[in-house]
Amino acid sequence: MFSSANLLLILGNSIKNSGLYLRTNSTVAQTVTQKEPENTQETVPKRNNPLKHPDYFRVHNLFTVKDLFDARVHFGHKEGSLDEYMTPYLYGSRLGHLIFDLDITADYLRKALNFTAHIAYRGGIICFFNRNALNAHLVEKTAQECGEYAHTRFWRGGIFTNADHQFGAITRLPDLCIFLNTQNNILSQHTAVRDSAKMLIPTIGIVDTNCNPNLVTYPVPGNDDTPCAIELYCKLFKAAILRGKEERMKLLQESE
Amino acid sequence: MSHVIKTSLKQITPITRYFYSCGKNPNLHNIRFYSNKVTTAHDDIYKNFTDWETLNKKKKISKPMRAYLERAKEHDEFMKKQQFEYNIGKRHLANMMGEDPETFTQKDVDRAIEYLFPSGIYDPAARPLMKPPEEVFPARKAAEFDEAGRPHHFLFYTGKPNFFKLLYDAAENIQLLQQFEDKVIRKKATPDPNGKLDLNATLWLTKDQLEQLLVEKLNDLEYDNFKLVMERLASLPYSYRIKDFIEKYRKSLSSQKFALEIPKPSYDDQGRAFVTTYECLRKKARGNVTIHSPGTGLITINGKDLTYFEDTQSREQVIFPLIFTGLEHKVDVECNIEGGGPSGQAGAIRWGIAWGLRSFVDKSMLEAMQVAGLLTRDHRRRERKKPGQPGARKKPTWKRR
Amino acid sequence: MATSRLERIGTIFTRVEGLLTRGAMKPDDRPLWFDVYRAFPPNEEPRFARPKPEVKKIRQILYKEDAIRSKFHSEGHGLGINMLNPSGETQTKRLLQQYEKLKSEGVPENELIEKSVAAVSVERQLASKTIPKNPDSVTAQVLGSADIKNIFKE
Repeated sequence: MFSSANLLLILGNSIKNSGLYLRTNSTVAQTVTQKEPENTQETVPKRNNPLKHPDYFRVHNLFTVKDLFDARVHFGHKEGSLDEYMTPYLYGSRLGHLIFDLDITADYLRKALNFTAHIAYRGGIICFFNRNALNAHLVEKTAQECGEYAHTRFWRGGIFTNADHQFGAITRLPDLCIFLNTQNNILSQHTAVRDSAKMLIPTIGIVDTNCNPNLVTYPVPGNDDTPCAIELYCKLFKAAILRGKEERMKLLQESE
Repeated sequence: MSHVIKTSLKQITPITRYFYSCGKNPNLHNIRFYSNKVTTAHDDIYKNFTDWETLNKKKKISKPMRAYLERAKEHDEFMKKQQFEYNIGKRHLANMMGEDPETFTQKDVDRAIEYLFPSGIYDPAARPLMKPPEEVFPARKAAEFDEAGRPHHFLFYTGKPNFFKLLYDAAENIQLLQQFEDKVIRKKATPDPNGKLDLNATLWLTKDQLEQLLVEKLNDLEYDNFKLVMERLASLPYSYRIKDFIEKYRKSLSSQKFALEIPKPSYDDQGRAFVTTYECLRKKARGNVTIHSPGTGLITINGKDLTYFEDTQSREQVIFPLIFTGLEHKVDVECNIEGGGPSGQAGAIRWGIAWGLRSFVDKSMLEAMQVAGLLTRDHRRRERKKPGQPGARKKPTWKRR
Repeated sequence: MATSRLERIGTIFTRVEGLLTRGAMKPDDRPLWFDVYRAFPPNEEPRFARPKPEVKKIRQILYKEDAIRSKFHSEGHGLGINMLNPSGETQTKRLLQQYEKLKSEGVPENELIEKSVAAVSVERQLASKTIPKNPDSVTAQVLGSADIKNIFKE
């Protein structure tokens, strides 16, 4: 069922933001608003649709900007290694070291957490990625604790793109990939970022100042090296997944 | 329907144009705003969408599971057919051999095949055979995922879940031990002196053994990583706390197998214990050796005494195990030997005596014999002569011209 | 799936959308994340080929007291911090506070640095005396037995 209320909300929003939009597409806007009442009449959901709620799993209260600051999420790399697509997320540079704007980071992180919770609610497979040996165990442990999957090892080419052959059978691929760091090393991007985009798998990625966020569906600008920052991300994603799963259990019990 | 799509597609174009014009002016607000386009594009298609919650209630089996079930069914049918054919074949064989088909066993089948299709092929695996289909076709892997297609193992996507789980467990144990060590230091307790992990008698599993244990193929780098991690784990001061985990991946060096295999001596009419070792082989010599205990050190070789061998080296070879165990005047040895030359025969007897003496010595002596190499069969055979040269390795004298 | 594997064209969403509009994918077979993405689209479309953001000069984060801080640091004061115990004020901060205090009291410019360093060191000694040391700790025992002043004298 399409969330018509949400559509209206966003449409209204866009109208507010641009007159240009209205001028070029006024017909569409009209047709949609006309169809609007029919839509709501047709389906009366017994349970309120999670997609209509802006923050159904209450991921908003999982952390504060202060938590991010304490976990050193704001630290970026040095200026020389900056990827130019990361400039909108920066607060500034402190003596050559780039600093993230944590208000922006918090917004992006909440979006990512919300998306994660929704995927977990729908019973999607979530796979954690990380190529930093320092944090690998933590990431694997998190994945195990929330009943999801992890890949923190060398990425053999074709795990996604040639899955049926690699695993010897038709295999269900993850529905969401969470990258705790998107780089193999400081020079190259993790191949799974590209492969997920190829295989239509949405990705969430912690992107540091030296990473390219373009292929990551829900990028989260932030420090991807420091263990305490990774620990915070792991904790947050775990909490979001568990909340999603809890709701799922309720739904399954109801439908039985 | 198609008409509707066309109009909506036409309408996209201005939006995208707008979206690009917006991108040139990368103010965060603007960027955030242009993504709203997503919701407006194909409303008519979205209207036909079934709600996810409703779809979820249908609970259909996932694609991977369906594929697995199909393959399993196919395999079952195939095996059934093979089984049927095997039974028919067995009955035919029984009829050909003139025996009762009902009581015709696998042993009879093997015998019949050997008789009906005599083969001189050296490798037994290449000879004709007829085995039950379960033995011929390898067992299939069970499904690694549930009905929804979710894998059972949390490291499934690494492709080697068991191996990486092992590394994960090792890392987990290292952390636990380090935490424990910190706690001991904080409490200023003294470590348990008895708690020491003795790894002298064991070795890490070899690559093949590890592969067998994990049911996964490993490469050399991964095996090296395994050894590195386990060495690190075992070197921690409190590693004895996770003895079980470490010993799962170690294999014992010592010869415990002897304890199981050593035969009990039999007794003859006069009440003397004796052990006979058959098939004592060395080079082309073969024979059997009987040891009687108690005895007086009498050695009989093909009815003669030790002078059966003319050279001293062979005589030394024969009495060496007796001297080594200190039983040279306490047992009688009787052997029949044939084939080969003196050194081969002496070697065969030496091995036979040592093998038979296992029943009359204690465990420490047994290990000493093992270390001395008395219990090791010498499998070396004569190397064949090569064409174009006078011997196995010997070359004709080299001349420039 | 019938989808294109060229990840640089469009986004995962537009590609699935294309399949759905053209009928290559049935609406009921749409990926699990599709509705979620539609309800909560990311702030920016995850398009590989996107215009580069405007080249903006990166703001330098500087504070007023940086000038004073550099004076302290150039003379080697207040550089060491205890990273294991990040709570509490760093020594540089204390120096700065002392500096401001002395300045407001009217101490001449050229003596400010020395005086605030001296004041903070006195403060620290007082603080270290008042903190009750654990007499059982190994460090305390070692420090107690060592004759630090005559450590190089034999």
